[in-house]
This record gives sequence, structure tokens and C-alpha cells, in this order.
Amino acid sequence: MSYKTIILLSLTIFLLTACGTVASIEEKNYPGGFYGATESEAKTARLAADLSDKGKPDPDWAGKILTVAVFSGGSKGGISGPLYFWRNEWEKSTGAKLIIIEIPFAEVREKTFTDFVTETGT
Amino acid sequence: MRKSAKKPLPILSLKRVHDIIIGPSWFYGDYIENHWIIPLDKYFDDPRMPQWNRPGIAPAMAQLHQWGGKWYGVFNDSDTQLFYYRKDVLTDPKWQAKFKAEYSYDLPVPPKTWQQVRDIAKFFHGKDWNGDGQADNGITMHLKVGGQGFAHFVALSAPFSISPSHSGDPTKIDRYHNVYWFDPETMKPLINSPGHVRALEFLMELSHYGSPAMLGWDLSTAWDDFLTGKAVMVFSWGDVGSLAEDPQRSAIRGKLGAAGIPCSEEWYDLETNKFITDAKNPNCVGNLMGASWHGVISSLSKNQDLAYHFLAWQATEPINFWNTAYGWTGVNPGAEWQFFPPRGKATIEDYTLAGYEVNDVKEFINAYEANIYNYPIMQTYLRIPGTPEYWEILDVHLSEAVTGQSSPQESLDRTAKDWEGITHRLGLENQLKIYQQAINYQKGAP
Repeated sequence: MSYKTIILLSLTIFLLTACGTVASIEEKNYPGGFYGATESEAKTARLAADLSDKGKPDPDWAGKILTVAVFSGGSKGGISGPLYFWRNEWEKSTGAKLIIIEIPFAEVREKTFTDFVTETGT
Repeated sequence: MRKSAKKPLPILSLKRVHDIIIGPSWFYGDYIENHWIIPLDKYFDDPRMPQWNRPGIAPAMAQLHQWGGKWYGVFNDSDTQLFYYRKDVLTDPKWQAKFKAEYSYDLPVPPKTWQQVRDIAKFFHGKDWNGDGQADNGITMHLKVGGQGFAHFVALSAPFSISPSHSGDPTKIDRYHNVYWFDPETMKPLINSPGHVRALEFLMELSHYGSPAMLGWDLSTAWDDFLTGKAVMVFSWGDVGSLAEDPQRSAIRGKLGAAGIPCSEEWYDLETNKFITDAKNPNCVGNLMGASWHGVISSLSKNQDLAYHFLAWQATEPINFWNTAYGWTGVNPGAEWQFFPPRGKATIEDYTLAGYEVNDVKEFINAYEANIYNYPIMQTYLRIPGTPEYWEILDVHLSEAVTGQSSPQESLDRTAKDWEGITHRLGLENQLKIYQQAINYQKGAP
């Protein structure tokens, strides 16, 4: 076996292992494609997602980044939680990326208004 | 293959603005006044965009997403303060007989008026009605400063201080009817009107029929007093209805009762400057107290089309219903697809699949529907610039009253004085103009 073949084989094994790891992390964190879903949630969410109108996403949206500022309830908590839950599904349908910026209740006004006034994401 | 798989992501700019704000409805005055958000009507027929059912949203709730006849917000969450009680306790024949013996009328299930709520709270407070060998509470409230306790006062005081129009349309807003916050002609605060003062006196009396620790309780602690089976009643947001189903937090699953916010047997008429008392025809006022968190799109955003697509997809019936059915999302119902027939099209099974108990979900969802749709008049929603500041002032002065540092009249007089200060600092003329727009007040309208 040549040196080049050994390197190619090693690289192939590494990539396959890495892909497997990514796939298993994906499955662990996104059961059924939904972040943090229980088995039951994944089942009903799939049904809801398939029934929902997704419009006809503009191909030019692919690769764009969308930033959402939201009251901080955590990744499985009130108001912000659904954004994490559905993000993967929406990103798949549009090709865009969704960034979630959580803001504590007491700071929602200051941070969002400052964003408007200074034109910077805070 | 989608283009996204090959197209590189742009490098994050240091000057990136938030494209979407999922914020409270009381920000609208600031949003609109400063042109911070964009109207959305242009997207409604755009084939790229998901379609969502705007006519299906409760009219009062839909109003919170609009300004000047245009839509600025996309539907998501619907807040209202409603009334919860222990159905098993209030329907227990043993307690019903004792209540009747003491108060000379049948224990009403659910109670229709605040005066009945007071009697029931007083009756149960201090009794061991849950059988744990200890005295239990009649009612629970969150009265800590900064703990959103002012929301209790706002919801409770509405039927004491707002009277319907006598014009033939009870909902018509004029200078004296269907107004709660300010005189729509002068911007003079109404918060210290005799009706508001009477309501605060009433709330203070009600607070005697719960744990004395309530004065230091935040929202979550007050809810737990009810959820763990220590209090007979609570009035609060939809979270209580969903948390009652959480086995980690609730001992009352299957025992929930819920109803619209109670009416009042007495209320103040601003036009005649007199109290009206009518126990048979009490004054009933619905409310939308709360944030009703929903998305708006920044006028600074470079991705407005994309932002609308995301919000519109979240507002489609299947996604929005799913969010409502799972209580941890914090998304509460406010549209026909979330309610049961005949108004709605949801089924009991839709909710039990998500973990609700049959009795509880019937109580919760039907009470929510009643609160949003069935009241003859609704409390106007404050959404003028400075609203958070007005509310913080109210919160502080209410606390002074419930902790005995000042009388209800003094507390609300101080609130009114401070509110006038805020109004003048922000500009009386402009505040008045925005207030009139916010509540759809039209001077001299027939």
C-alpha cells in the first residue's frame, strides 16, 4: 500500500466518522428535525410543518442571515423556545440562517430601542 | 439541491441590526412615532409568502397588530387576564352547604362578579379545605414591586372604572365611556378616578384572604400557591392553564376551573360622576392585559422580505396551533383555530395529544375564548410612547398602598401626578395625538 493510498484511506475514514458524528449530534439535538423535541412533539410537529403553507421562498434568500431579538425564555421556554424549535425546518425551506438573540424581560425595551436608535444589534 | 448548500454565508457585520423584534404590544407607540417598523400589507398577496388567516383572529386581538388601519405585527401570542379556580372544591356539596349557610346565597360556580369572588375567598381563607391539616388560602396574587403585580390591578379595576357607551353601541369610545387610562380630550390621567380608587380598596381587601407573604411574591411564586393546591383561586395569564398540566409543578391536574375575568356589581360613571350599583346586571369588561408577544419588522432591516416570510410561516394555522397546544412555548390562544366549535375548529383531542387533561382544556380554552370574544366592552390597551414608564410608576405606587405606606387615594393621586410629569416631558400634544390614535378615539364622531 502506497503512502498516498494510506493518506487517502485515513482521510476517508476520518470524514466518514466526522459525518457520522455530525449526523448523530443532529439526531440527538433535533429529533425528527425539531430542536429538543420529545418523541410526541416531533410527531405532531412534523404533521404541522407538512400541513403549513410555506409560500414559494425566493431563491435569492439562500445564504442570508436573519436576526430575531426576542424576550428571553430559553431554548425550551416561553416565546423564545418556539424559535429554536422551528428554526431548522425554516432554514431548510428557505436556505437562510436564523440567529436568535435572547433579551431578558427587564432589558427588552432598552436593548431593542437602542438597536433602532444606534442602528446596531445589541 | 438547494442553493444554500453551496452559497457561502456572509460575514457578520458589526453594524447588524435586528431584522425582527418579537416584543410586547405596548411598544407600538414608540415603534410608530419613530418609524422604526414597517407596515406589512404589501406582503399579503405576495406568492413567496405563507398565507395566514387574519380574519380568524379575535377582533380585539387583531387591533393590537395594527395602527391607522395598517398591519404592522404578525400574529403569534394572545394575552389576557382570566380567572382560575379549583372546580373540585367549589363544587363540593359540603362546602356549598356551608357557604350558603354563611352567605345566604348559593356558591356560584364560577363566580360572575368580583364581589362574589371576595365572598368565596373570605369563606375559604384559613380553612383546611385541601385536607393537609393546615389552614389554606382563599386567593393568591403576585404583589411584589417589579413582579408585574400592577397587571392584577389593571384587570380587576376595569369593570369598576369603565362604563359602556349609552349611544346604542356599548363599545363606542367617547370622553366618558370606554376610557380607562387618560381623558382622551386632555390627556389628564384617569387612574385616580373614584372607580379606580374603589377598585384598589377592593384589591387590598381581597389581599387579606390570601397568604400575607403575597406582598413579596412574584408571578411564579403566586402561581405555585395555586398550582400546588394551597389557594382556591387566582386571576392571571394563560400560563396558569398550561402549567396546571405540568406534573413537575402542578398538583391540581384534572381539578381546574376557569372563567372570564369577573364583572363588578358597582362601577363609576365618569359622565354623571356617580357610582352605579347593580348586582343583577353587573358591569363586565374584557381585557387584553399582557404583552401578546409578536413579531414586527425593523425599518432598518436589509432582509424585510425574508423576515416577513419567517413570521408569516409561524402565524400559519398549523404552526401557531402547535405552539398553543404545547404550554411550554408560552404562546396563548387568540384565534378561531385555537378554540372549540361553534366558533372554532379545534378538537379536544388536538389538545389532549399535547398532554392536556380533558376537563382542564375545556375549562381553559373556553374561558380564554369568553375573555377575548364575549364581553360587551373591552378595556383599551395602552400603547403610547413611555408606556413601560407609566406602568412602572403605577407599580411602585400600588405597592405603597398594599403595604400600608399610603392610602389608595394617595397612592393613585401620586400615580396621576407622576403620569402628568411623564406626559409633559414627552410632549403633551404629541402624547394626546398618539393616545387618541391608539384607542381609536375620534373627537365628535357620531
